[in-house]
Amino acid sequence: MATAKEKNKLTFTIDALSVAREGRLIFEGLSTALQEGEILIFTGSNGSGKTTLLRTLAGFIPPYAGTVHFDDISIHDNPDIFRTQLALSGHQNGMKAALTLRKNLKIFSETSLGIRADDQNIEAAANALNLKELLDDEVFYFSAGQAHRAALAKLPLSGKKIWLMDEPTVGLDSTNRKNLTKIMQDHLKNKGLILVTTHEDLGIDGHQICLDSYAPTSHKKGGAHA
Amino acid sequence: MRKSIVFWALLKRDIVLAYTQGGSAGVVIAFFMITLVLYPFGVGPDPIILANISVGVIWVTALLSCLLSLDRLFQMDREDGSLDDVMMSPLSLEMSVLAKTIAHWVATILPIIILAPLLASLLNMPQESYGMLLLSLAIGTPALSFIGAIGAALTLTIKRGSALVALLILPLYIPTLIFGVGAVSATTNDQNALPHLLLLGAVSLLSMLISPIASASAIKMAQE
Repeated sequence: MATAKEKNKLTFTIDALSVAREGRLIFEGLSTALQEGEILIFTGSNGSGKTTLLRTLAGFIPPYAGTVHFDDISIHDNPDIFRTQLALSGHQNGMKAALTLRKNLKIFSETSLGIRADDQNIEAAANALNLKELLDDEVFYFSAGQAHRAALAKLPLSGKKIWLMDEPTVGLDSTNRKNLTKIMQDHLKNKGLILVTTHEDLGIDGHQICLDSYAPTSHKKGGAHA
Repeated sequence: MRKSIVFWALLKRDIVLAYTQGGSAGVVIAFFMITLVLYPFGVGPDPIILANISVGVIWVTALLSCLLSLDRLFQMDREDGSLDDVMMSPLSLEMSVLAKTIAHWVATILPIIILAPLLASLLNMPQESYGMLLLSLAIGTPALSFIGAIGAALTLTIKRGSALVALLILPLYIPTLIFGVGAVSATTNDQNALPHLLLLGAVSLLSMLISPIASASAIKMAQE
């Protein structure tokens, strides 16, 4: 505890993490750490446990073995404190189809952060992902790519320190990939931490970890990539 | 401060969503009205028979109407992913469940209570019982939402789980049904309705205490 406090940068530490689903190990022995302003990129084949890892880091899935700490807080002992620090962007967009994007972002801000967002913040977040024209349209009419961008807009709006992003590039065109790279770089500049899973090049340099090399020893998938 | 913003925003959001496209409040209210209108056709127009069965019929229909909307209570949020966002809010999941359940009661059950005297007149219920019908529904129905929330949370991972919710929940509605009907019958027969109302209130309060804790732990398991 004392040694970690001496550093002035907040550190996110994963120590010997193993995760099992329905009694079957998905990956084991994952250890890594990252600090403010750093990004960690998880790659790996389908089923290697990328989404499971992010949901474990978000505190939804208890680990089979190992620990995860942020600033000395054990996330699985204190999921409620920890979760207020992080934002998760997954495969579902968390949007109510019947409401407009503006209303959705407002509700997100109130129900997930407990902050009454003003229009300025909402417009800035939407702008960052090229959604300004769509703010007053119902999410029902959005294409898959637009809905995904809407979900990504929640990250800068949340103002949270740690972003967990599950394949953020899915369904994005080249312009919006650049926008995505931009918001991620801005977040890192503001001392944020990003843990991201992807199959594609994000255009950001960072430490890469291939989950295939942490597959359980009993059925390791054809050779380590890392 | 942040926690109270989350609480009220969730409450407001769910009430609004119940009346927008995909929401269940309109369906529930229509179901309640149509089902009660069917009884005179099925039982026959004898006013004495209708008057005798009116209280029980209204209460049972209220239970079934409530059941109709329960599978959506958490399922919609799980499907679109907003349940994850809610679980990451500064408010504890137990309190979020409380907000959502209160919203369910306000949006779907409260309109049923308001309509009950109107439909009671179709069933020839004695007019002096209307007040007690309203009072017993107001005191008793929160238990329907709260107990129902537990069933909805337990069946969260099951697609089309509404039939299972019915099996899990309907037996637990029996105390509410007995004391609710008992209170109105007592008034009709010039007896003291207070014991029934007190027991009805006890069931509601107890379920309000247990439900958020039980539902929250079921949701946590479902979201693993």
